[in-house]
Formats: sequence, C-alpha cells, structure tokens
Amino acid sequence: MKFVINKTDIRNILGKVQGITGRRTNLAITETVLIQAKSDTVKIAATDLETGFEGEYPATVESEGVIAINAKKLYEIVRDFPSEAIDVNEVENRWIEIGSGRIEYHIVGMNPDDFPEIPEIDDAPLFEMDSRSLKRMIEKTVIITGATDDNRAHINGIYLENIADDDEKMLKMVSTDGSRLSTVDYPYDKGECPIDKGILIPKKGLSEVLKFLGPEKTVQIGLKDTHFILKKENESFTIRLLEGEYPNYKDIIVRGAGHDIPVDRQLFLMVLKRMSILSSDNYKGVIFNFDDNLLTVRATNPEIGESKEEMAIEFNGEPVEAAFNPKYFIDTLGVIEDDTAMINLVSADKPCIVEGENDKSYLSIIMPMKI
Amino acid sequence: MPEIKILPEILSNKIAAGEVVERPASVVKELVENALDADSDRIVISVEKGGRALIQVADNGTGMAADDALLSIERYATSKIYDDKDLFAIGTLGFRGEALPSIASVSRFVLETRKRDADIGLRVEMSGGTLGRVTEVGAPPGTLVAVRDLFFNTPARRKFLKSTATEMSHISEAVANAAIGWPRVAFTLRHDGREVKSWPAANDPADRVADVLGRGVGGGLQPVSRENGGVAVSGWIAGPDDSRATSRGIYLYVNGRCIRDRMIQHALVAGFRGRLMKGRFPVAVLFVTVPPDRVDVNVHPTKNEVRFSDQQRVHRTIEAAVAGALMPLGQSGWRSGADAPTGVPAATRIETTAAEAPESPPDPQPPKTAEPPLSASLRKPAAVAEPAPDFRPADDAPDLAPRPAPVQTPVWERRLFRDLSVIGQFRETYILCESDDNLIIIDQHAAHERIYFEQLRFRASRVRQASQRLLIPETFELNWREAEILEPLIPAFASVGIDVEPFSGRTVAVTSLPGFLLGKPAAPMIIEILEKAVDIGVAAGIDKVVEESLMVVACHGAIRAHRRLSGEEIRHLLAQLDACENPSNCPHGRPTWIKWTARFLEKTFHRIV
Repeated sequence: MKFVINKTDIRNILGKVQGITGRRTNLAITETVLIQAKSDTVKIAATDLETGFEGEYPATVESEGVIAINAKKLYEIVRDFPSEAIDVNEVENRWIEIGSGRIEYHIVGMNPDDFPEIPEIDDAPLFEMDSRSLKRMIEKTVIITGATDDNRAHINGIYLENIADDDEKMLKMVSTDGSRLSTVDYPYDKGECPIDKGILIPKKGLSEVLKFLGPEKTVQIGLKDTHFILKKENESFTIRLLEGEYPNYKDIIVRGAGHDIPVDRQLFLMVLKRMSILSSDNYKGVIFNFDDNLLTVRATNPEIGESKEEMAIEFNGEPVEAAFNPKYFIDTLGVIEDDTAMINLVSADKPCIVEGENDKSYLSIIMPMKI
Repeated sequence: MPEIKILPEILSNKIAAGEVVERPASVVKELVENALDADSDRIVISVEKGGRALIQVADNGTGMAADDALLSIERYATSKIYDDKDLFAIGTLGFRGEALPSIASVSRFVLETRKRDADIGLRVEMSGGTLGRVTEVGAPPGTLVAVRDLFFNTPARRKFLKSTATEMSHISEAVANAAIGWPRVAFTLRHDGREVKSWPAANDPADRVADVLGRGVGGGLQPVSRENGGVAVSGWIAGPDDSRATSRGIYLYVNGRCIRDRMIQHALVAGFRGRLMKGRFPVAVLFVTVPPDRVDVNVHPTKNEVRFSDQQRVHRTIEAAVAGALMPLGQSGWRSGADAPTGVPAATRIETTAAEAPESPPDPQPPKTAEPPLSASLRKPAAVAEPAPDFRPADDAPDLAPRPAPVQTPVWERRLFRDLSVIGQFRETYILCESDDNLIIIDQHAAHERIYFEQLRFRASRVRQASQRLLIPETFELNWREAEILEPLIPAFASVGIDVEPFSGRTVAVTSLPGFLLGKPAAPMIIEILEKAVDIGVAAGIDKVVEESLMVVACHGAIRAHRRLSGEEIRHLLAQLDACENPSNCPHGRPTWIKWTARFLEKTFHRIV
C-alpha cells in the first residue's frame, strides 16, 4: 500500500480523532486509526467501541491496501512534518514508512484485521437538519456532566426525542446531572425524522461529534439498530446508544406561581463569575436574595472568606431567598443567546427555571441548595 | 418417617457440650466462672498436655452440700437463678446450669467439694456422662473439679484439637480474661506441673491489669471513666502507639463478664478516631456496667455475646469515654503524666521506655531475626514511641524494677513543640529537632495535615455546609433490615446534608447531597453505613462522612514531602502543632513525630552495652 496525502487535510482529521483513540483502554487496536487506500481516496476510521468515526479524503494512491497505525504517533509525525505532501508506504508486512528521502519514519502497524467493525449505515433512513443548530444543541447540553466515575445512563447520556404532533414537529435534547437539567428544541417542518422513540446518546460521543461539525450547511442523523448515526458529506459517526430509563423530565419542568424576573445576562454572569472565586469543593453555594428591584448575592466560605454583590433588577414581588451553586447559573447564562435572561423562582426549595427572554428553544432547570 | 423420640439425657448433654465445650479453654472458662460465682478468692488451675490429659480447677469458695453436688451434674440444675424473672436480671457469671453436665458428658470427671462448715466432703466420679462412684472424702473447703481425657468419647472433637501450645495459649487467654475482671482473686495457672502464671490478689484493679497486660504497654495506661444514664464505663487504655494488628489486646467486660462484642469494640475504635491507622486495634481493658435488666447475656451458651437494650447509648458512652481519656494524651501528654493521677501505680508505668525499647515490647509484627540488627532496631522505636510527646531525658525514665509508690513523671520544663531546637530538614521531608537527650523527628506532611485538618474542622463547625437539592432524586432498594434501621437515622443523615426519604416499600430516595458527594452515586455510601449499623446495632460513621471529606481537603492542601522549608516555616509549623488538639497523629492516624533517645543511639553504636 502506498499513497501521498496533503498534510493539512490529514493533520486536522488526525487531531480530531485523538479524543476517540486516546481513550484509556486495554485493547491496543482502538488506539490506532485504520487507513484504507482505494482508487483516489483514503478512508480513515477510528473507534473506541462506543463511538466510531469514518471519513474519506482525496489522495494520490499508488497501490491499494489497508493499515492500522497508532493514531497518536502518526498525528505527532504529521503535525510537524516539514513538507505539504506526505508519503505513506507499507514497505513490507506492517512496517509503515512515513515520508521519503531525507525524512523517513518507520512505524510498526497492527493487524488491520483486528480492527473492530464499525456498523454500516448505508441503508439507514436519515433526517436532514441544520448543522449549526445541531452544533449549538450539543454545545448547550454536553456542558452538564456527572462525575467521571458515575455510570448512570441518564447522567452519562443525552436524551434525544422526536416530538411530532399535528401542529408542531421538533427534536428535543435533554441533559441532566441530577441537580439540574437543560432542554434544547429544534422545530422543523420539512422531512421525517426516523427517530421514533426517545434515545440516550453518550455525552462523550457527542462531544467528539462536536469537533467535526463545521462550515457545512446540513447534516443527516438517523438510527441504525442500537446506534445513533450522524453523516455529513464525506464523514460519518456511529455512536452506540446507552441502555436505561430516562426520568420523566416533563414532570420536572413545572411553571408554577413563581416570579418571572428579567436580568441582564452579561451583568449577572459577571457577578456570578466573581462570586464563584469563593467556591471550593466543600462550599459551593451562594445566596440570591431578590428584594424590591435589588438582587443581592452573598457567598460565605469558611475556608476562604465572604463576599457580597448587589445588582439592580426589575422585581416588585414578595422578597424571595434561595441558595444556588453559581457554576450552574454560569453554565446556563453562558449558552443563552438573548441579552436578557428570565429567571423563574418559586421558593428556596423548588426548581428554578432559567431561559432567554425571547428565544424559548433553550431552557434550564436548576435545583436550589439547602442551607 | 422414623418416629420422633426424646433424646436420652446423655445424648442431649453431649449435644449441649458441642456448644459449650469447644476446646479445653472453654472448660477452663466454665469452671473458673463457677469458682468465681462461689465467692472464691484463690483459684488454682492445673493443666496437663494442653488440657487433653487434665484440666483441674480448685477453689476455696463456698463449696456445695452433698445433695447440691449431685444435683449440679444434672442438666439445667443451677443455684444461680430461680425463676424467669431472674433470667433477665442475671448477676452471676453462670446461670444456664449446663456447664457441669456438658463437660462431664465428654470426659472422665471428678468433683470434690466441701462446704466450709461441713465436716466431710463429697467426691463424685463420672465417665462420659454416666455417674460412677460417689464417696465421702476429706477435702479442703471449696470445690475441685478435675476433667481428664477430654473428648475421649467424641473422637471427632478430639481430632480437632490443636497443638498443645495453641490450646495452652487459649487457656492462658481464658484465665487472663477472668484475672482482669476479678482483681481481688488470686489466680495460679500450672501446666505440666510448672507454674505458668501467678497473679496475686490485687487491691487496685490497675495492678492486675498491668500484671496481665505485661511489660508491653509502653506508654502507660490511661484511665477511662464515664457514666451516662445508667451506663458506666471504666477501665484503662493504652495510647495509640501501642496499637496491635488484631483485636486481641482488647479486654471487654459487661457487668463483670468477659465478652466479645463488635459494637463495644467499634465504639472503642471510634473513640480512637484520628489516632489509629486503619486496620490497627488499641490495647484496652474496658468494664461496662449496665443495670442487669438492660442487657441480655443469654444469647449464646458460651455467654460471650450480649445484647443491650440501648445500644446507641452504650456506644456513645464508650466512644466519649475513650476519646476523653485520649484527649490529654494528644494535647500535652507529658504534662498529664505528671498532673493527672492515672491510677496506675509504678509497677505498671512503662518499665520499657523508648530508650530500652528495641527488643522489649511485644510488637505486633513478628520479630524478623533474619534482618541485620541495625535496620531492625532503627525501625522499631517508631512502633513503640510513646503516645504523647514525652521528650524527657531517658535517664529519668523509671527503671526496670517495680517501685512501690506512684512515680511522678518529672515535669519537663520545655514541653512544647515550639521549644524544640531545630537541627534541620532531612530529605526535605522530615524535620529533625533535639530536646535534651532526645532526637525528635517530625514528618512535615503528616504534621501539617493535622494542623490544616483541625483548622478546617474548626471553621466547618461554625458554618453549615449547604447541600444541593437533587432535581432527580437517586432511588435505590434496601433489604428489610436496612430499611428498618434507616428510619430512625434519617435525622442523622440530614445533619450532614444528606436527605433520605422513604419512597415506597423498601425503596428510598436521596433528595439532597452535600457538595463533596455531588456527582457521585450516594447509594453505595449510604448502604455501607446502614450495613455497618445492622452489623453492630448502632449507627456509626455518619458524622465521619463530613470529617472524611475534610481529610481529603487537608491531605491535598498540606505541604508535601520533598519540599524545602525555611527556618521560619519550620518554626511556624511547630508553633501551630502546639495549638492542635491531637498533634501526635495525622487525621489518618499516622504518627506525626517519633523520638530517638540518646541512649538508644548509644546502644546502637555499642557505646554502651
């Protein structure tokens, strides 16, 4: 097998698959990328057994063949390679030469037959959606993660649901870590989404997808057996779904008799970023006190000290006080796109709803802390 | 189906023997308890071949009249209780009326007894449970029981007997258990005609404790004493540096009865919290006294288990008593040695200080003779370092000869860490200091961890930590025992920020968690606490959850090993150590400092021999 490929092309791809191939594992083959050279393209594949990636790129193929080569080493060699065209050549059995002439690297490949199979997606029905919207949906939801050793499916996965009523059709993504929950909607009128039931897609896999969502206008999503599929132009992802029950999130989103309090998103965000200077592992809470047109935020951390900030707001309801982890608000305010955020607070022990003033496609529910 | 028959008495006695008489030591225990119940003040135990050939217990107690003597070998015949009310208010060691017939059914058995005012005694012989000759004999007042050829008619049991040495160590243990509990009674233990142990009657229980625990208790014993709502705890504990790898250094007595009880042991270890490393056990003698109607001793035929009606109170009282006794040790132990009368007279006070330490005390580790002598002796002082900072000159340590009067530990003038003169830092990990004739080595990480931990704990005690309410409560199933025990513990969980609510049936829901537990599955931790509570009968460890989170913060925040400290930093560290409640152990129980005496170094260098 022998081909020549453009450095910039392969470098970017290899850089983006490191998240998949770099996962700690005892199965060494998943640390490799599978490269298939055929007519005038090379096909690059990577998998961690949960998330599989495949992409096809133009190359000058001299002889066809397939290799499995350590993704990290190949990336490091390619990244700083001094010329634009890079020769890749399997000199003999699994002895792979990169470069030629003055710069030559030889890397021992692995047996490509051992490379795990990535599910075929060719015949699966797909749904076309706006690429940028999908990117924003994933960005807004994957920020909510649980602890690394938490293996509960509803914490590790994002719930994707297709809601198709008579009057409206939309895709909904839901993400939670047990203390807060966010939902993002994608209303559509064209096409039919093949995802007929709610599915749980690992957050880890979606974070990898995020790196590949770029300038293209549309992507296609679908379902193949137990895998979520995402396809764009020359690249595709298959992510194995998580098995598990998802809590009934609709019951959690309750708009009660709470106050709708508009706040300046940027100002509030800055207040909270400063307040969280005093957060530590054991003391995370800040107290919000909503009073007559004034929001007072206080933090007390016996390990560090205390702080207080005041902010003018439009509020003339009954004073209400509740404690929150400021990080949850920072995450949410950071992804709201409107200039004004609406906070709906009922009481110190009920969930608080945060959303944009006009754009109602994103909504976050944050549980107060108990003091 | 074969017809159901009532077992012949010999057989039922043999079955009972299976429970009561497990090995020679059980015979010794039963017979010694009978002797104690008979108000004896001198008990002689003679054993041959580890108890296989002979176990003989002679006392000078009240003895029995002829009729009683014959009745005593009938099952369920006892002089100790009369009706079922007595069963729940037992003041004697024995009461079941099982021991003698059970023992007699598996041995060749001789009983000789004479009441003090009777002219002549009675001798009863039995073999394998069958009554043999009954004769009148001349005998000293009291009772003598001789048990020969134990298990001669139950070969299976006999096969399970261990070596003479092993059986003998169990017998010594049984006698030691009785001896500590009954200091006013003189005990003698003979094996194959040789006197093995002899404990004269002691007026002060502390003398007996010291006698039995032996010379190994290096740091001296701290008296324990506390009373709370009818539960009284007294006794002695050795400092944390005398810890053992097993619980065999723990002697527990409930109303005078020596028992093994996981709950009491747990309370004892809990009292040592932060001073003992995980998996280490203290050396302790604890007497727990509760009104007889609030403890059930009739749990097992061997009577070494009990049940309390108010486990929680007993646990709390013991834990507080132990922690209270250790408090002076941590704070400024060298002072307490002088000021507070410990109640432990001279003979018991450390005959072995660290100065002579290397070869003397029973170290939990088996002696490794194969090791080169230098490294062996270098390692050992750490294990026997005294529990409290005690930098007094080695020359002033009490010498080996027991002294009649209590020794006042000399008040050492400069007794604070900050008064130590700093030599320097070794391997950027240990701070070397000298004081008089001692070389004091301080582990900088462990010391700072302790300082930081106590600061965190102090601040945490003033501000309640907020806990995060869960949007999606974590639900999990309990088994019925755990579910039952959870209910009363809900407020305790809530006090550390964990809200648990019964959900439905045996399912419970966690509705809020403290920050440090967030994002981690809470169920395994809660179940672990409940399992422990089911096991020992009281909830322990809930309050520790918070301390453990502080320990992690303290460990990560403390200065590390391999860091150069300036002279200023060292001085400051020592001064802060003085402010600690327990400066001698890091929060995980590791020692923060050790001491090498000049004498030890001189010995190591063979300057003195």
